[in-house]
Amino acid sequence: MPEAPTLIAEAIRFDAVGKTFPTRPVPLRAVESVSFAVRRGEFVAILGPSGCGKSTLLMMAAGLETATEGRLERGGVELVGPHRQTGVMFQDATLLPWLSVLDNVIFPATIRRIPRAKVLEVALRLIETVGLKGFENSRPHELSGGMRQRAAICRALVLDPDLILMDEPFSALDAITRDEMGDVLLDLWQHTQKSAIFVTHSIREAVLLADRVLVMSRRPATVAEELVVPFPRPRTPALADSAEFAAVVAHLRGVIARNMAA
Amino acid sequence: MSSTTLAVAPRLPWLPLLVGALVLLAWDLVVRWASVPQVLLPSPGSVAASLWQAAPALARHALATGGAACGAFLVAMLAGMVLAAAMMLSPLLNRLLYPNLLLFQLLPKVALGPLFVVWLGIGLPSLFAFAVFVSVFPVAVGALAGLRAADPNQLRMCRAAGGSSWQAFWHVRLPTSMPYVFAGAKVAATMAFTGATVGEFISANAGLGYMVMQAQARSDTPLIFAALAVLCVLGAALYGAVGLVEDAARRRWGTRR
Ligand SMILES: Nc1ncnc2c1ncn2[C@@H]1O[C@H](COP(=O)(O)OP(=O)(O)O)[C@@H](O)[C@H]1O
Ligand SMILES: [Mg+2]
Repeated sequence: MPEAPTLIAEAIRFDAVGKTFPTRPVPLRAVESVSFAVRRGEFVAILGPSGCGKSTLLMMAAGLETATEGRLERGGVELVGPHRQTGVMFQDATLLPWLSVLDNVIFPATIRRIPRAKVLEVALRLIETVGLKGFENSRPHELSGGMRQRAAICRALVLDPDLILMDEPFSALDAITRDEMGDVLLDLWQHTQKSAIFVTHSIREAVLLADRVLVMSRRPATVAEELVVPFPRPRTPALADSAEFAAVVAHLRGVIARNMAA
Repeated sequence: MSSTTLAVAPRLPWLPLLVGALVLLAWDLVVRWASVPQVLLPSPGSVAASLWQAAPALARHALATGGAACGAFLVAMLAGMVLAAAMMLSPLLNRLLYPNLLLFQLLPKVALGPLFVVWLGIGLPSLFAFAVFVSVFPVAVGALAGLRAADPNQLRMCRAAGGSSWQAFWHVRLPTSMPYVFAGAKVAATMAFTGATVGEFISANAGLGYMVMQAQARSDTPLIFAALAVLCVLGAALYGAVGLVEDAARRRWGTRR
C-alpha cells in the first residue's frame, strides 16, 4: 500500500455509545454501551429484534442523531455530523418525486455543490450497473419498488463514499425482488473496497453479504453476539444454496433464538 | 407519459355552455312575455347593446380594475410566499404570527374596507392596499401548509447528504409546496378582483366597481349588467392564467406519486 491515505484501519468506531431519548414521562433508553469497529473494506450486518434500537444506532453513525453517551469516531476523527464520505440508504428509497432518476442519483453532488459534469459519468455507470439503463430520465413514480431502491443504491454510491450505511433497505420489497437486490449488492461489493453497516431482518442476506454479523439484544440495544462469516470473497448468489451456508444460517438462527429467550 | 398528453389538449365544455345558452334564452323569454321593466331586469339583448355602446368606457374602466386586481394579486403572491417562508424558517415568527394569520383568514375581511378609506383616503392607494389585504391570506396559509407538508424521510435524506436547513427548504420544501401555493393562488386571484371591485364601490373614481355605482345612481341597469359581465371575464382570465402557469409548472416538474 504505497499511497495509503491514512494509517487508520477503521472506517468507523463506536466507543461505549448510548442513546437516551428525552421522552415523557420516562426517558427512553434505545442504545446502551455499544462498542465495535468496522474495518476498512469490511461489511458488517446487524440483526436484532424490531424496536431494539438498530435504526437509532445507524442514524448516529450517519451523523443524523447525536450519542448521549460515549463517542463515535469516523476514520479516527470524532464524528459530529453527516460525513461527506458516508452514503446512506433508508428503508424507503426516498427519491424526490419531482426529479428524474438521474437527478435523484446526482442529488448528493447537488447538495455538496459539486458540478454535475464531474459526477455525470460515475452516475451513468452506476445506473447501468444496477440495471436501470434507459430509465435515467424517468420519474420515480414510473418505476417499481425494486427499481426505486436500485436508484437509491446509486445515490448512496455516487460520491464514491468509503462507508455505506443501510437501514433495512429491502424490507419494503417482495421476497423475490429482495433476493435480487441482495445479489445486486453482492455484485457491487465484488469490485469495491467499501465498508458497510447493513441492518436487516433476513439471516440469508446477512450471511450472504457480510464479513461479520452482530446480533443485538432487546432494547436497549447492545451487541449480544458476534459471528465471523467463514466464506471467502468473491462470493456468488449460488453460495446461498450450499450446505455450509445453510449450516451457518441455522447456527445464527439458534444464536438469535437463545438471545431472544435470555 | 400518456397522461401528460391527455392534460394538454383543451376541450370545450359543451354541456355547461348549452346550459348557459338555455338560461339566456329563458331569461329573454321571461323578460319579453312578462314585460319585466328594464330597470329590474334588462333583456340579454339590451345588455348586449349596452356592452356595445359603452365599449370604450367599459374598456377604460376594465383596464383600471384589471390593473389594480392583477397588481394586487402579484403583490399578494410575493408577500404571502415571503411571509410563509419567514414563518417556516423562524419558529419565533411562526409562534407570533400564525394564530393571527388564521384569525384574519376567518374574519369577513371585506367588511374592513371602510377602514382603508379612513387610513388611506379615497383612491387607488386605499383600494390597492385593500385588494392586497384580502388576497394575501390564502397565499400565506396555503404556502405555509405546503412548506410544512414536506416528507420527513425526504428531509432526513437531504440532511444525510450534508444539506443545510436552507438547502432542505430549497430542494425539498419548496417543490413540495407548489400544489398548495397554486391552490392558494387561485383563491387569491378571485379575492383580488373581489377586493378591487369592493374597493371601487367605496373608494374610487374609476374602475368597473365605480362604473356599477354610477350606473346604479342613474338606474341604468343594462350598464350594471354589462360591467358585471366584463368583470366576470376579467376574473376568469386571471384564474385561467394561474391555471396555465400551474399546468406548465406541472409539466416541467410534474409529480404524480
Ligand atoms: N426520535 C425518537 N424519540 C423517541 N423515541 C424514539 C425516537 N426514535 C426512536 N425511538 C424509540 O427508540 C426505540 C428504538 O427504535 P429504532 O432504533 O427505530 O428500532 P429498530 O430500528 O431496531 O426497529 C423504539 O422504541 C423507538 O420507539
Ligand atoms: Mg428500524
